[in-house]
Amino acid sequence: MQLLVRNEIKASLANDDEDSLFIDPLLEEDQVGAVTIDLRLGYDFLVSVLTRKPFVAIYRENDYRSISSYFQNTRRELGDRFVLYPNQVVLTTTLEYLSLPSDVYADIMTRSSYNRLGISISTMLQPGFRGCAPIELFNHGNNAVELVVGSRMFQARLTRLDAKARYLDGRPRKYYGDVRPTVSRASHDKDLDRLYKA
Amino acid sequence: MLVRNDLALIESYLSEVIHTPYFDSETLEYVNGLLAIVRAVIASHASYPADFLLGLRRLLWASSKYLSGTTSREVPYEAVFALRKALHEWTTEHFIITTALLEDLEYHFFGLDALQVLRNSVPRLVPPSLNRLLVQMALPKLYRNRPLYSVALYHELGHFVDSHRGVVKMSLLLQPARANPQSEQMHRAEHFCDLLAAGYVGTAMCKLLKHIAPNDPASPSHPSTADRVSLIEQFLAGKRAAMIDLLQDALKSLKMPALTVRFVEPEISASFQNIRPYDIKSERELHGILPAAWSFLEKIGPKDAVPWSSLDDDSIVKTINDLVEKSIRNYSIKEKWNATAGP
Repeated sequence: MQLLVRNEIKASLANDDEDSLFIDPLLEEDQVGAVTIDLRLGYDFLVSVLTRKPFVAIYRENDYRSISSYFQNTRRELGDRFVLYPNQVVLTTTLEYLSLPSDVYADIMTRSSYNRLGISISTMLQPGFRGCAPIELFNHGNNAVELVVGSRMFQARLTRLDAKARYLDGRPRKYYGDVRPTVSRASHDKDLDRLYKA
Repeated sequence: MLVRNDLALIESYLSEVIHTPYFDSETLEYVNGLLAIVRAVIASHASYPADFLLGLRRLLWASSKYLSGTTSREVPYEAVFALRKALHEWTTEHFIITTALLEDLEYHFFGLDALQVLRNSVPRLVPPSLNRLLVQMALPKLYRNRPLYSVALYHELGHFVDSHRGVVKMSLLLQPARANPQSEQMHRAEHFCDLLAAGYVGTAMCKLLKHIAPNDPASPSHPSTADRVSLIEQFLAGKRAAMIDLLQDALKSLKMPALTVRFVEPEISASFQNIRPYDIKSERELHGILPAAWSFLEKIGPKDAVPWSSLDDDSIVKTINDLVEKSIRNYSIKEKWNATAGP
């Protein structure tokens, strides 16, 4: 495995091959750093809200309440503000749509400026991923933080594998090509049927 | 007293709406201006005729639906962005496009702009600075993330252009209606809106009509779907038809732009086949991506090779709509970003 550096990232972005790295929109060239790419905060949000049911159930039993009902959708435009409150889960995406080569995976992290505000995320995109990168925001601090749609909040670190690993390997994918945040589909995991009977 | 109380209820509702969700500055200015007028009317309601107060209540009640929809959390920004570009080709006036989300499978245009009506009926109430026109349209809530179905909003935009400039009324001066004047006027309006929409989205307008009203016969308000599709196809093929000629003559008499094809279908296959958004390069392509994506959708299915073989029918429809939505949004983001360049 090999960490991709600036020249390799730029070369892959400039390549027209269908298995090259693709990021759109890439508003500034200097988003590509020495070993990372800066990514921006997207414009669609799913904000967690309290409901009368005291917990999110994963088993789809009689009193099951859809996971989406624990979230409220809100949309913004470039430059608009979004307030992230302490201890609140907010689902969003990167502004950029990403398409990863079949031999490259990405780690998405918060940039240090936002880590220092108490906001940290860590997620991984598989080789061949398509979509706006899903982001699960959480404010660990004591103060609400006003975020700006389109600001450089995240960074991607790209790693090349020794072999290709197709994202679509014949299995249906849960979050393929998503352009807006999607609530957890944990309750759709097939293993749950067997676990329920266990 | 009860009508005054209703006005106070609406005033209170709109005041809450503008202070909670997001509002763009133009809509905020419009609603604040409207609220100031409503408060003035409430304060001296006894001096206004009862008919005026009843009419104002009805007007505000209807308008609040579109205004609150525009400030809500689910505005179809991408469709509105494209519609704004199209409308700039038909009017030089300042306008605001508002959208309401409906539970029904229905699109419509609401032609009564509260400030415009007040401007005409009681001019002293409306300051000259409040000069924006309100374009109020509605779409099915379930289609809010389905830009392919937003092609119907181009038709609704046609209703605004017609009501704003009187295109069909001019056609009636050029060629008066015969058997059933009211119905013929409405049919002409529907044809005008279809042709204006087809100028931006081509055969996608026919495909949507066949999707939502496949076999609708003629009614007093609408021509049959078959007649509507037929006229659109003649228009796009550059063929002459009496209705097309009449509407073109009306536009010419009003010194308005002609009905013509105003889009270019981009070659989206390479991008969409690779599940990537298309990089829209012009306003013509901005509209043209809709018919291009309709055609693409018709050719693709789960029996095709990867990636489509990993997706079921529903996921394919969702994915193609999402790619269209992201293509349009990326175009708008780049436009906004580039507009802020420089010192």
